[in-house]
Amino acid sequence: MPQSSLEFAIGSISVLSTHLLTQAQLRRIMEAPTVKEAQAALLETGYAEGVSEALLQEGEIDKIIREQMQLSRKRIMELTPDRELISLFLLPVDTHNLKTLLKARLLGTDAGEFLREGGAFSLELLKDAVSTKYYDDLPEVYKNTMNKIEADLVRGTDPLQFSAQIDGAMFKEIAKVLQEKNQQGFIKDYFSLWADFLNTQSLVRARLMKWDVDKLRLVLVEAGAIDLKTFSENMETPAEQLAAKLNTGKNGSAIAQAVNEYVQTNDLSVIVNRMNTNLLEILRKEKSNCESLGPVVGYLMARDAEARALRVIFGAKQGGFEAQVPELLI
Amino acid sequence: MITLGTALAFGGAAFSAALAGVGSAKGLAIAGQAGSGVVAEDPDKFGNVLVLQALPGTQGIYGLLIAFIILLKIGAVGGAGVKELTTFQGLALFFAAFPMGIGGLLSAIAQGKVAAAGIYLTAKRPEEFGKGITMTAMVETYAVLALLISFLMVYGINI
Repeated sequence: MPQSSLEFAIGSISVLSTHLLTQAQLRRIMEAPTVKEAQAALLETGYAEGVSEALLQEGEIDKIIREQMQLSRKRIMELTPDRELISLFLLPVDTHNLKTLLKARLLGTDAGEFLREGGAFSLELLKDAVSTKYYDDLPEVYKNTMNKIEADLVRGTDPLQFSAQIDGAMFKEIAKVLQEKNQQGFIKDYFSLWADFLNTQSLVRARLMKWDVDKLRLVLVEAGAIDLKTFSENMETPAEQLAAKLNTGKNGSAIAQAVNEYVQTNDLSVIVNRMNTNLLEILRKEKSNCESLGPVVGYLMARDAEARALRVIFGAKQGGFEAQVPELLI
Repeated sequence: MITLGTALAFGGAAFSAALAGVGSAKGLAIAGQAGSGVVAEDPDKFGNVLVLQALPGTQGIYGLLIAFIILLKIGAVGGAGVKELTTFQGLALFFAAFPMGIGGLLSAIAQGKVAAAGIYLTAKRPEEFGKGITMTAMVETYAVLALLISFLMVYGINI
């Protein structure tokens, strides 16, 4: 019977993490000559453990991966001593689903295959909420944002803004939970770095596309260590001075380094890459800390990375094109 | 008659047994929860987990040993009757219990944490079980030193 203790959770995770796919196993799956043989190689690793027999018979790899992700997330939520904090790492899935459901409703299409399982909220709840426009069962922050979006829709506001508003709601919810929990550890560091990097990307895009400050403010997200004013006040700052202006707070040096690289290369992807590297670094450092939720979050992210890698491999196999074996970074 | 010195000696015995016992209980609980998590996923590891979980239990035994020696010294065990100690003799026995009480409490908790880490190590790499035990046993050194000094002190007091 699962218990809500950190030691119990890490003990279970220690065993579960031995079942994660290795780089060598991924390579073997990639080297299989046909999709069917690749599937057989995957199932040989024990990857589909716990997946229903019916689904295995069906043999649809994407459904198996989805089912696995759902099972792992459910298991993690049973194990973790702090569901609210772990849920923060699942919010991007809910954010994606909310955007997808809303867009599908507006376009009159079915969101079906674009939805992802394993978010913090039940998929059925989100489907019902978006179809009935009744958001009272969602957390306060999401409820208010979605009600505002529905009101904007009636007024005929640009639908492209919804995406930024839902992202903003996610970071507002994260900031709220972190504050309520008085969280000072790596989880706060992770989300604050993520928010600062997203805001930096928004600032750089806004400068390139010559947005006005009000439009930039709409896409800035909370939870970062750099004051939002710092971003809105630097729309006109010369590019070579931008890094120095953003170099404030604990994430300042990482942001400044990324901005400097961007200024030298004029390539926005360097900021994204720098963000991913820095976020991974935070998780890597914490992954072996037995006195924090680091191992639990590390396992969750490793499962995500594994699912992404499998999708790349099977996508390439089914599409008949060459792809490199994705690296399992965590 | 129970003098203040005799009461202090009893206090020392209680202090040693209680603190070291609490430390061991806490250490065992930490390692036990970690072990339960591992066994929940892989019941075959129970044997290895049990050995690591048991290690922080020794401090409680050492504390009990010092308490027993103090009680033996003041005649509370053995049927000879409790001796009337001077206040200084009692204080000396009380302080003699300190190393084992405090050393046992803290080292058992620390050892429980290392045992938990050893259990995680064993879960991931069963072949490293021996290293997990070695690292956990290193913490024991300081519990043994505490036991030794408490033992020498109790025996050094003339009654």
